[in-house]
Amino acid sequence: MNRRLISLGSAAFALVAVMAASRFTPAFEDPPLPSRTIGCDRACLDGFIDRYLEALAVGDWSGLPVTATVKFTEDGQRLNLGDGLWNTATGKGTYKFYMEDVEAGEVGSFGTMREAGEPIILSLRLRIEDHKVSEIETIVVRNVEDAQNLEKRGHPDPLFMQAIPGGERASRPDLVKTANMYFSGMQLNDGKGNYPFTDDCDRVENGAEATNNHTASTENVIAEQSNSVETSSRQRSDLSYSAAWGCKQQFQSGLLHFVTRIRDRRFVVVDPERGVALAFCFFDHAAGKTRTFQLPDGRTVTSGPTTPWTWEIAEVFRVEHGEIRRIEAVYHRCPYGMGSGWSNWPESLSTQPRFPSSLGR
Amino acid sequence: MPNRFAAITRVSLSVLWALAAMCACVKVEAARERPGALEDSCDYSCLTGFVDQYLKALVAHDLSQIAVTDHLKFTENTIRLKLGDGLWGTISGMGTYKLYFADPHEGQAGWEGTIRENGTPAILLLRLKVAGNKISEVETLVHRNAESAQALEKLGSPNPVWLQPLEPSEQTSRKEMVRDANLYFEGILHSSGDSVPFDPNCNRILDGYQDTNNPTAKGWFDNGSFRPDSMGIRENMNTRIWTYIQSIDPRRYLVVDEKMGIVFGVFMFNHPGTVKWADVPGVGKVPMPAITQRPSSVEMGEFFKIQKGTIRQIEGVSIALPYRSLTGWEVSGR
Repeated sequence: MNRRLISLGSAAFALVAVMAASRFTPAFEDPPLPSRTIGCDRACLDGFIDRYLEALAVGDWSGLPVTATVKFTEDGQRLNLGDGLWNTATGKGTYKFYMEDVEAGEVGSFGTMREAGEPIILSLRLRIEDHKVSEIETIVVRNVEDAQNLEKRGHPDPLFMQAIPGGERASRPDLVKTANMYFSGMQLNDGKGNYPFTDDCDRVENGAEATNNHTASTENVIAEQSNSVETSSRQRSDLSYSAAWGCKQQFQSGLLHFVTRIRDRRFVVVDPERGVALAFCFFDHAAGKTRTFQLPDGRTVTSGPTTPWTWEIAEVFRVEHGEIRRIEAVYHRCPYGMGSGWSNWPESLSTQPRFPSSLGR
Repeated sequence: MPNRFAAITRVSLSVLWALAAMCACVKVEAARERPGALEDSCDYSCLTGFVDQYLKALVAHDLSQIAVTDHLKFTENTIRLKLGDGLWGTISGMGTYKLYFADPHEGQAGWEGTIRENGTPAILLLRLKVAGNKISEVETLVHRNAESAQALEKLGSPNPVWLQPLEPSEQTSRKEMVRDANLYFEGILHSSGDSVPFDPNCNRILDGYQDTNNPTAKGWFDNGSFRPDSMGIRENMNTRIWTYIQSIDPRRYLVVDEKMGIVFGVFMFNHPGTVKWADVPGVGKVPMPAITQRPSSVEMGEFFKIQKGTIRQIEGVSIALPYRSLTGWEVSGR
């Protein structure tokens, strides 16, 4: 959240209903997956990503096995397959991170590509049905520096690929429940919630270390402080958000309050074997009344973005023993309130998590 | 000038393009021409009064100050929001530039002006639809760029042509007004300024910036002595620099202000990012700027002064969007 914080500022939402929703703990029942034969194991799913990226790099999707009704979105917009990045991609990059949901037949990836010769980040989700691609969802981060940062990392954190011992695996609903607490804890963050992070939790955002990064400068995200509090240099330091902090410290600071709503939380890949959950969602920054809020120590501050806008995000979590240990995100700015192209309007505004089984097909 | 459209008369082009617009699935949605439609329910000053009421309520952050229908629809920068969200939470005051237009025929009104958002200047383009003395549709484009807003304010007031009602001899029918405005977009797509009925004094101001007949401007396409922003609008359009625009679709003509001769609409410019250079007549290949070499769309709220069947002036406000964004006003989504 560090870079997101730094580059934005913050926001707020005045709707009581939304505030209530941020504290709402959904009932995580175990929704049955649709009865269908996936017949595509982890390697098979990864193979579809490989084939897709190979085809994309040369701008030719004719050899890609797709269903007759395949749906394709880029940055929340439905396009004809072959449009968008298919017209402009010029090659593959060096970073790749695959996430598989064998049970649901879904596979996600974060990786780098070249567009007009320049590095970009691509977040990709494919749904596989009868050994064909039926859904393609992409977020294209057209930021050279971010893509280069991701490539400098070389590879994703190996923990994401490590199997959870058989007896310690969380159920699909429990995985989503834990990962969703990240979103609920950040939305209108007040520093007082239950934040299930391991002590060594780390987060990477568009290739940059957003936690435990001791080379990062402390960023003061507080724009103004209310008149009720004298602003000394020490207090200003207290009001600074830092990428040097750990995951829990950042959430306990209460400084993330400007993220006013995290909506359309679609957990598209859930992998109990590796303790991985990948979600696509949106972070809204309303920039209204909730710019002014109270920190856990009682101080009132005014902080955050001064105009409404939204992050479109794909974020993956590694969960162990009910706690989040690793997070990696790919995201970019989009129009305030934008939809994903995969949800209707009420779903798009909802802060409730949705599983693959509950995602409308 | 070697231009495949230059030799064709304007009349024949009008017919061709009208057909092309229908056949090529370009969604040209024009305000209808039906006698006396809503004329008696809310007249010109009534409609601009609704604009004033809306702006007053907006700045006060007070929805209770406006009457809205049960099924009111509100969009900001193409995104459907709940009324009260978006700019409603952040506006902090009005600016100094403002321009109204209204269409009693359709019960629609528009406004372009400057505002302050948490103290920072921005441009707001507003469209209201009024039905039964209540607001039923609110469409807004908020151009959040202080420099653009300040540039508009530096003009002092809108170009006088916008504020001057048409003489009866200068008027054309609603259908002709929309047709003439639409020729502008066809001219862009065909790099054919010669086929657009421009008044010789026509200029264009987009986001507060005059990009025609502007000798001091520094434009995207400047290349040595080739400086298209310093050209007249007809010559500028003939340069083929706009070939990176693949389509302008949909084209939603929303307000036809017969009194002032203003046609206002919202238009989606789509850029697939595939055009690498412009083959400029007499100049040669001019590289496209990097920003055009990636997929993107721009929604443009644009208005035209139509006088005696010519385009006298153009002004607009743009919003950068993901490629092939919807407008928020489709009857059915994709």
